[in-house]
Amino acid sequence: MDNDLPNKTRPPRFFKKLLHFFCAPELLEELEGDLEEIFEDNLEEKGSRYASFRYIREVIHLIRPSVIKKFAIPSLRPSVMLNNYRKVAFRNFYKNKTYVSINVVSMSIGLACCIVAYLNYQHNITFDEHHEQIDSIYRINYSQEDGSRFRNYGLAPAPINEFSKELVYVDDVIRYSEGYGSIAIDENYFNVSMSYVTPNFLDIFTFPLISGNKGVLSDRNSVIISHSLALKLFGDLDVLGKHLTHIDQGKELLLTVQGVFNKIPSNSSIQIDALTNIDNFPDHGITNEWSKLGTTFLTISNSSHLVSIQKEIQDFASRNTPLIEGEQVPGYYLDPLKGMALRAEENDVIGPMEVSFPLAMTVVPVIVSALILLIACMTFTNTSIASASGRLKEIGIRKVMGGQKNQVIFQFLTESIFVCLVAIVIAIPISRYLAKEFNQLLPFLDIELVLSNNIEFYFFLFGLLLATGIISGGYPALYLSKFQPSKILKGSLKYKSVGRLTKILLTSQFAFSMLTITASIFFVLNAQYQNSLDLGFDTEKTIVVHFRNQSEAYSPLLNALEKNPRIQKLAGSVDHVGRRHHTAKVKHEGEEFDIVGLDVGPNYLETVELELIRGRDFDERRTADFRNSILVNEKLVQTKGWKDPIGKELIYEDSLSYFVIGVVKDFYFDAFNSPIEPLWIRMKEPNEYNYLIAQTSATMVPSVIEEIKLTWQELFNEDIRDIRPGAYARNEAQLTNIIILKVMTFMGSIAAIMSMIGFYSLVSLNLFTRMKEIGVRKVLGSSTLSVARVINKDYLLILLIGITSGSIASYIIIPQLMNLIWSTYAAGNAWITFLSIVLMLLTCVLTVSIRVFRAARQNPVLLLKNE
Amino acid sequence: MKGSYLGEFQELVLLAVLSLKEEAYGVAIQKLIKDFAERDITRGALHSALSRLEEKKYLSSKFTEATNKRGGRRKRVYTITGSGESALKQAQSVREKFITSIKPSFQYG
Repeated sequence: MDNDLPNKTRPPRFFKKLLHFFCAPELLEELEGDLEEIFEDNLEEKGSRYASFRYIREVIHLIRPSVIKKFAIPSLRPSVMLNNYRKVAFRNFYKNKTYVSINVVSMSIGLACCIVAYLNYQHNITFDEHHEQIDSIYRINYSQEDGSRFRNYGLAPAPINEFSKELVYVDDVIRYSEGYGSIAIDENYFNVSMSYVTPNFLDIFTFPLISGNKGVLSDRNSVIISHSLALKLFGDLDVLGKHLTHIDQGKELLLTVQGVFNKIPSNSSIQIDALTNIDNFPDHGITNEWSKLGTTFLTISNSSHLVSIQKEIQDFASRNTPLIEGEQVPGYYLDPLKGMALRAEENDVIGPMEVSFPLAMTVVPVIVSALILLIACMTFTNTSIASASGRLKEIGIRKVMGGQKNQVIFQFLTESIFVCLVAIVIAIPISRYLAKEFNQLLPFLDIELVLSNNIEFYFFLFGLLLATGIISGGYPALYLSKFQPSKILKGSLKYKSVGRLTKILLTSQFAFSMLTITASIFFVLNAQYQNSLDLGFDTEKTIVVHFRNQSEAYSPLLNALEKNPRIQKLAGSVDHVGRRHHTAKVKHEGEEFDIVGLDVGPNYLETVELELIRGRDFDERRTADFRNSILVNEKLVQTKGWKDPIGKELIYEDSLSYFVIGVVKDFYFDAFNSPIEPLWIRMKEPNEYNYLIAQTSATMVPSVIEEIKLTWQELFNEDIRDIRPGAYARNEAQLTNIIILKVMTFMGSIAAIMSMIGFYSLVSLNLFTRMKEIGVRKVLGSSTLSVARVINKDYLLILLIGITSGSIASYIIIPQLMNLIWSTYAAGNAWITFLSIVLMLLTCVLTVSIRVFRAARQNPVLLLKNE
Repeated sequence: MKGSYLGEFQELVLLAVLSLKEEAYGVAIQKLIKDFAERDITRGALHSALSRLEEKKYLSSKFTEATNKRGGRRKRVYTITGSGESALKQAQSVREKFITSIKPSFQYG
């Protein structure tokens, strides 16, 4: 009866068709009838939406073996046909061996770049995944307001650590602390960072040992050392039972080596030199002191309790944290180990753990290498279209013999996938070499091509193979298969080997190469600019000693170094330009603003050569200077619009008044990582100093460093902890520059070479088809030059369009990219772009002209002679 | 045959067929199970059970005459066979044995 109604709701058509498609015919009537009945019932009771939803659900649930019909698998006679394809393909490869090998080589270089970029990416996103229990490990973090923003810490106070042991759903609590110090063996001292852990550490975290067993951690007298430390200390790996003395802050600890770690992967957040029981850690027994920080890991097997655990910790902290006036209770949260390093890099989590590489270092190589591969694919497409003109007859005959269009497509696609396969096989050793070179760029990089047991990598390779095969061979296959055999065989077909797509591909190739070439030139110039730029403080003559939590070293070291005639100036400091600064909120005449601060000792200004342009420097004989005098930078004076800055008052924390006694010239307080900001400098007492800065002459820096090391050794009987030349601040910026420079130069030149090769082979292939034309033109009296001009005309336009669009793109993209990385950089100018345009044009015109000229100069008789 | 073991769901289906008599076709069985056992099963799940029971020769089926409903398509009506009934009885008696052994005072049903 419902059937009579017009506009009656019907079951969803697609799913009805789907049912018809998969359902066995003998079951179709029964099942379709039933589903229709259910649909109509639901329609009446619950409306059309519900009915359709139920219908879809029913259909999907019918997709089961007992319902699905037997699909006939089309039988092929693959061996005969494939043999034929193979034979024809190899004959063609042999005929075009120059172009095929050019393609294979450029494709394999592109593929190798992609493989390395992928490995680098994979390395970075699989941080910490070697831990078998990664999914149940969490770190207690807290975030606290500091100045104007929140800072995250991967640390937990000792009472929190104690408290979490009592929580019901927490399975294990692992405490991890790190200390510096040195290890003494006989009379030799070595710098080492010691990790102190609870005995369950190795049960939870997966760090395989090559000798010894993990149970020894419960013994306070034993130590497990890393593979590299074993080699450094003892020269071999057979070290079980050997003794060493660990010295930290004057405390000596005799330990026995009871284990050696296997090499720890560089994508592990926890990097260990030496590992011992946490009871050896100074002050570990003090559990009620909120200022004692360390890292606490929890294992929680049931993640549904996370929220409640987090809340319990927060409640405990709210009840018990001792607070200074105006301070807030930090917010505690659980940070899963999975992805911890990536989040730590993104949010700047402070703590002893390593963080992942910056995003730019993983994403930029992926993008650039994909571009290179794309250029290689384009070359492949262009050359195979151009060289296929010789295969038209083959296609015609295949079709006449009854070959289907699909079969021709299949034939050409398998050919191109085969070429890609060869390219991948060649690419693997190339990528191995590239990975080695890439690792050299940074000391801590160790990406590796592991072929066994890396299933994802094989999936990636397979995907890459299919993608490159289809991208590069797809268009030629489609294009060639569509011709009509009668036209091909009669010879009336006009085959255009430079079709519209070829033109587009060639144009974009040039645009991409322009982009990479311009980018590399920009980056090279920027590196030079940054190296010559004045940071505003000295980096060539100074040496920086960092005490690392041992401020008491300051006075004896200062006294000893004052006697060194080669050191001209000395200053202690809490902060140091390019190394450490702080931020604060201050008020001036009721208006609150943020300020960057450096806390320094007397003589700091002259030692690092900050220039005082007004007022006076600190005077250590005036005690008031320690309490309420400050120096400010020009930027602050400017932003406040002060005419006479001397004597202006800044109020800190609503209670401390500081008065400006002088103005210093602007300088980059954080090297080039941050722009110049309003800044103050305060003078502090020696008990807070972290650094000692010594000034000598530029040529003597290396030898004075050695002398200071010796002095430290005599004074404290241990290796110096951290000493660096002042040029370090520059190096930091240089390091990023060097990496980008090398990667960009490499990639840029590859891109340029590839598009030139592509261009060259396309032009020369195309010339073959125009030989007769050249001959006729010459017979009719054309000069060599005018023939060359006619032939060149086509390409010149492509070249011009490609280069113009490429330069426009680089003009827009590159400054943005640089802005992402640096705050101070040399934005490129039109001249540089112009320079790269000329360069590119010149090389292209040269390559092609030579080829064309040679063809044009040939004797027309030879060209026109028929067999 | 893969044993004459009767699954719990298959047992329900057999019972439903038994109680529906001449009207035991897909949709009706599905509805009855939904009403009695409060189990919302799909036609696909039911199909698996029915075809397996038919394979075990516990059920037989035949098409009815076409009607106006269901777009003129015929229904397949299932009837229980002799061995189907005895399998059902056996399953019941196993249950009863258990129940009496658990608690003498426990009344089944």
